[in-house]
Amino acid sequence: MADMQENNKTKQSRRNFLKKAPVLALGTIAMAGCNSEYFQQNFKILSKEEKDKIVKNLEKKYSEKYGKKFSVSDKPAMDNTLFAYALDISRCVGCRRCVYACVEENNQSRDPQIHWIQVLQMNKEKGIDFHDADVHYNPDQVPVEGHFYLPTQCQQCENPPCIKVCPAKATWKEPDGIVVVDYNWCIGCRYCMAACPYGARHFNWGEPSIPNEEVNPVTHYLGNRPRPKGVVEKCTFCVQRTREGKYPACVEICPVGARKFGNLLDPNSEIRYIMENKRVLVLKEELNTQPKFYYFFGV
Amino acid sequence: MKFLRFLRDCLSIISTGSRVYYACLFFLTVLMIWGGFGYYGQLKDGLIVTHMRDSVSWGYYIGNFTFLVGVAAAAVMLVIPAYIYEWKPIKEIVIFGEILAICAVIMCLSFILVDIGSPERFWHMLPFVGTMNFPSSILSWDFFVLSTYFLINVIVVSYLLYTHFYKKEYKKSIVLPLVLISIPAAIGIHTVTAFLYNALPARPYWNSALLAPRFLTTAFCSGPAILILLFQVLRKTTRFEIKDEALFKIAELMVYTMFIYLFFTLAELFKEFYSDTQHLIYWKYLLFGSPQNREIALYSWASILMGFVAFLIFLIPSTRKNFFTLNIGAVLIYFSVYFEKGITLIIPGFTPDTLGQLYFYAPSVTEVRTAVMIFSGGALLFTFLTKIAIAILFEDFYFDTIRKKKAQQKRNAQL
Amino acid sequence: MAKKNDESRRNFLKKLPFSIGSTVALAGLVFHEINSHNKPRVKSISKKEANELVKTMNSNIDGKLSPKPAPNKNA
Repeated sequence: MADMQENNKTKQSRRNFLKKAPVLALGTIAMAGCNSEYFQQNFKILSKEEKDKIVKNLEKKYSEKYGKKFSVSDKPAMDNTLFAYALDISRCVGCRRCVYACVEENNQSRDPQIHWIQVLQMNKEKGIDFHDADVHYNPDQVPVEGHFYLPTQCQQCENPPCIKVCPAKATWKEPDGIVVVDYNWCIGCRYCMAACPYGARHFNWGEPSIPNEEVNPVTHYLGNRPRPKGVVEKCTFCVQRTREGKYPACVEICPVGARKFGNLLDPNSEIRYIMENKRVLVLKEELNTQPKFYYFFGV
Repeated sequence: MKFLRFLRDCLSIISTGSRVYYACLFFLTVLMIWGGFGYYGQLKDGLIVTHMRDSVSWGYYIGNFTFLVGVAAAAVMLVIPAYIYEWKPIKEIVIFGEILAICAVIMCLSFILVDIGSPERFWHMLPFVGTMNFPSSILSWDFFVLSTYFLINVIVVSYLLYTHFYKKEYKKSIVLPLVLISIPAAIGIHTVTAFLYNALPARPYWNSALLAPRFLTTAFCSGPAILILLFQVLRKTTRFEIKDEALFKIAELMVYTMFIYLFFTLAELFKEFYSDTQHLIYWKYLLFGSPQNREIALYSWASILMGFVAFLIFLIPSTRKNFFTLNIGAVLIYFSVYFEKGITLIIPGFTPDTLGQLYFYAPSVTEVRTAVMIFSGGALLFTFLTKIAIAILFEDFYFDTIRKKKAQQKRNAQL
Repeated sequence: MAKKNDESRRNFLKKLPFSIGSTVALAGLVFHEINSHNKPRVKSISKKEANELVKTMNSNIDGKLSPKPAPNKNA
């Protein structure tokens, strides 16, 4: 008898729940629809229409936030292009103008401070020795006697250890050789930062801040558009410039001409000339990362 | 429906208890709330409130995660000797070991969630709804094996308790395969976690082949230590019977793993100090710190000393078979492994960083508070689950207990 | 009237070769300039010239530059 009563009770509660279910379902779907930005998928699997919509949305948001007309490009890689960089160690004087040109061009946070380019002061006696390097050098004038300067940034490896370890495929190598990050997909686990042998990847530990008047409104989705808190960023060979046929900002600003850039697949390019005629080296070669950032001694 | 009833009755177990029990709950809840407010600061301002920076991009949270994976793995490893040596209370050992494993895995996942920069994007690393980077990323593997291990443990524990609750015999055909699978799964979770570090040639301190074996040996030292203490408490307070010899056997097995761990460490030290390459700089930092900051040396030497003393205590039969010294040894080895996994594994990997620069990391107040929140939450869950297990296994709490009680009360009222 | 027209026409014809010549010379210079910029910089100067160039650049700034600020210690 008691069992039958219990069964009836459970039947009742089940019926009540089933009555409320459709309303709950609709409510959930409605909420999901409102916040569709949250459900944006990985950039690599989006269709052209979805990308266009996202980019337009971003342009609107950035324009509102910074009070300037923003453009966010999603231009893909050009055909027959493999970008590479060459840095002339004999010319670099360690003036750090490249560091700050990069900061301005690529909308890096001023506070907390992020620098995509780190210039290391090294001893001429020791050669390229990271354990004897100093990134915080601050003399009145450079170059300091007996020292040389090694700027480092993302080496845009052909065999990148960082993209291997990303659990969400938020970072990958583009067909033109540039390693990029989808800032809307990165979960901020920082595994890629542990994997990078060159200290090239940086994290937005706090809310990034850029003064409105210094913001660069010409951006690329995978490049220099302003990043949110909690994602990883790094040098992208100025993808917003190089895919339009321009040089990266660091190449242009270098006052001593230490920086060279070009398309490895173009036999007439400067970079090919350097590869064929100069003695080129890469950093930490034994790690087999195959960087496309080559160092050489021009003079 | 029967399962829901089981859950509902379990809830009634944990909502009543002695004064000591309520005091424990209150204490842990207070800690959780205090920790929770600290974590809220991190949610608001971002990870900048920790002391992690680009140079040392992983810290206290990941260290705790690594330690807890070891605890989770080891708890289940007790199943093998229980089975081989035919200890009578094998079912109970399995259940308590797996309860510890469940709580440890939940704490592991919590530490990951508080460490990543955008926790709300966690689903990006899942298969189907996100883009899981399997099989390339070891983190994807880790997620996969941890969830599998977690599911196995939850199923086995709930099934065993559920059948006991309904006074039924559990089906060996369900339990045995799952328990057997949980053993390689336990080895798997800790090996994969070790591979997380091992996979990075950018960090020579972790790039040694011995890293995964060292992880396993320290896991076998830390998890059973907790269980040695727990079983003694259960023996005194409930009908749980486990012979002294079984506890000493656990300690004896731990000696073997401790010895292997000491040997592995010796092998690492020889390779680094004798070869004297530039990679030695990480080990020098580990043992001696840097002229600017010697703090880490305290923790490394404390860990080494405690581990060595525990090894001796467990090795010498007279101290092993004396419960006072045995318990001291268990506590010592637990903290030795905690310092080792939580601090001395992570920080020297990043100091100096890949460009040779030194940044000295120590956890910030927010990190400590968040860790306290997770540990007290885990302890709370552990308290609840063990109370349920104790009630069902040792205090005759069955499906008809509540009804019998209510019927009894009615009769008393009528009288 | 006719005489004045003849005068101005003769004057113009006197100046014509010069104008044509200078126009051609100017065009040639411009053309040469455009072409020379299309050649890669590296190929067009010898090593000796490159050294001289570097020395000149450095000496223009007294051989040294004042560096931009170092990054923050806790960055």
